[in-house]
Amino acid sequence: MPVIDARDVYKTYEGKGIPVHAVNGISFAVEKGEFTAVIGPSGCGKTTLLNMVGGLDSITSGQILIGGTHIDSMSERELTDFRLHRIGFVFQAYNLIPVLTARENVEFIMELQGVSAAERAERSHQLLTDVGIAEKADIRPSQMSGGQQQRVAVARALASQPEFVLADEPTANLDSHSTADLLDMMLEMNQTSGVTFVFATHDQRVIDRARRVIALDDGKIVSDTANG
Amino acid sequence: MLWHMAWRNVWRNRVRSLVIATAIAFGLVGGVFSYAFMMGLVNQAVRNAVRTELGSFQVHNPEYPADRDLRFMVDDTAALLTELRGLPGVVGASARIVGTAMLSSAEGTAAVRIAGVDAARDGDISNLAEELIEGQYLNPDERIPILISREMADDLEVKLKSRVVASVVSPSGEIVYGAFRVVGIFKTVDSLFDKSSVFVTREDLAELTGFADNTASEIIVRVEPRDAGDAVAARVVAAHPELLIRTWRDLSPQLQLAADFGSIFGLVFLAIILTALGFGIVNTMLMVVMERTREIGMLMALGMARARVFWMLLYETAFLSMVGGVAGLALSFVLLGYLGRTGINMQAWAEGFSAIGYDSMIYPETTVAFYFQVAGMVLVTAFLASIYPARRALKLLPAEAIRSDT
Repeated sequence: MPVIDARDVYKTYEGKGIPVHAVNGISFAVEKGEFTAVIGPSGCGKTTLLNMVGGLDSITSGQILIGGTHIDSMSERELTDFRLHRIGFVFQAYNLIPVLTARENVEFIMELQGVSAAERAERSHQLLTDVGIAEKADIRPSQMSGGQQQRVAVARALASQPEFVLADEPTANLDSHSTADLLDMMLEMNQTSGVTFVFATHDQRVIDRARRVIALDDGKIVSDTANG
Repeated sequence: MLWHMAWRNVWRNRVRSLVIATAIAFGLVGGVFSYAFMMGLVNQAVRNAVRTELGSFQVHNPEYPADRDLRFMVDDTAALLTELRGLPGVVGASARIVGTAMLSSAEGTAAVRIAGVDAARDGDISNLAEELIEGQYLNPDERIPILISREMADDLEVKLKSRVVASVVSPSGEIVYGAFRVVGIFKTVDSLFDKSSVFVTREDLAELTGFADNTASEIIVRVEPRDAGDAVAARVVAAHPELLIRTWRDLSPQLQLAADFGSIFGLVFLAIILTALGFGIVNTMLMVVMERTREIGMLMALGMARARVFWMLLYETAFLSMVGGVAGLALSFVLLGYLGRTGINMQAWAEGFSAIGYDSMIYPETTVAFYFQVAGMVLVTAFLASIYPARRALKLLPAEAIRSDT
């Protein structure tokens, strides 16, 4: 069963009385363990598509199944709970909680899930070690570089033990070196732990490392190819 | 962790939080001070009235109050006084003969309320002896002593040892005249009382008016603590339905009104200040929500339920308010502790205060319970002030908020 199964998904906005199809009848599936990039020019609908898959935005028509569960008919509350337990997010602008340390940022998700303090401490330590930033555990985001913050964001995304991680332009604010480090780390997690990653990106460095590339234009899939 | 986050969020913009907390603190100091000042003023007036004139409650013949006719007296006062003095909380009970009189000197005449008091026991219920500024208190061994106020002494142009003549209507309806010698001059904070009250010994007034032994116009009873007076009065009412029992509240409804109004006014004033501060808090929290739109969207996107977002903002508002509230209450406590000892001298307005029975030296008063009450009001204000900003936050759509510039 695919982790993500999008079937004939539409997202239409009413712009000045003229319907605008941000996502125009997209169907695709992502299997467990994929390392997939959704690419395309600005405004092609990739962020909208990721938001819908992540339960952050509603769909106009079609179906989205996550691990076999329809999310298109879920209530707001169900979607919040769904996101918390089954999806990890990495955003473009780091988006860590600035008043919490790296460790607290990672533990925060687990606390929302109701994980015990002892387990939170153990798992957050392991995750921060996995992303290579354990020594920064008690430091707040403002004292970290962009690359370090994005590593914490990945650790946080994995803290909820999600079925997959959605990463929206995760490297947009990073320099080449940090981007390479981050991609190496995520690829290693993908290969060793089978973590499924889906990126929305137009960063060629990410596209080059992805094993599958779905290209969008005008809200439609124009190509879906295996990479390398 | 929500508490931690909220507390740390308060200090993300340290200057702004300190400004609003300082505003809350000084607002509270103003409100608490006003309340304490008002309560000090009113309580002092009540204490003075109870201690100087009214007692906790008074016992009369039901016919007496209409025109203070000496014919309507309380009988068998000795037994009644013994009974009253035996009641719990009663620290003093004293019988008086009280009538109206014209007091004359060579230079003038004044209408007065003349009270014949038991010189040995009246100190239990009245602090008149402490209010003497010249001479001495009534001494039954002296001949026809009378105490008059400073104002009356000036009006009648008399001094210590001067003779004055009182004309009084006796119980039989006759007008009788008696000469008295001024042995003491008093001055209380209540100029109205001073202008209309003179005191002689019960024996002299009884002899002058033919008042029978073991009777009195009134019995004044003092109860401590003051608040217990009503309960004791209620017991006497139940035991003596044939008598008229009136507490200081009944005897001086204007004072009762002032006491009620004082506390209500203080609380209303405090509520107005807190409301104004509440709008300041709303403004601050709206800025917080606007500045953290992306962050709040991110929290929702990660799976933080809207209820938790609401609570986080509520905690932040509560912490912000509590910082100001605790500082304000601590400052108030110190300030009122100091002023409660030294008093606030309103000498410039002494005449005006005295005209309405108030002392010009005011000692602000509060209770510990009041501080808790104010703390509760601050928390309620914080809660109410957080609702609108929190609702604004809850209306954010995560997908849009994440893309926000703030």
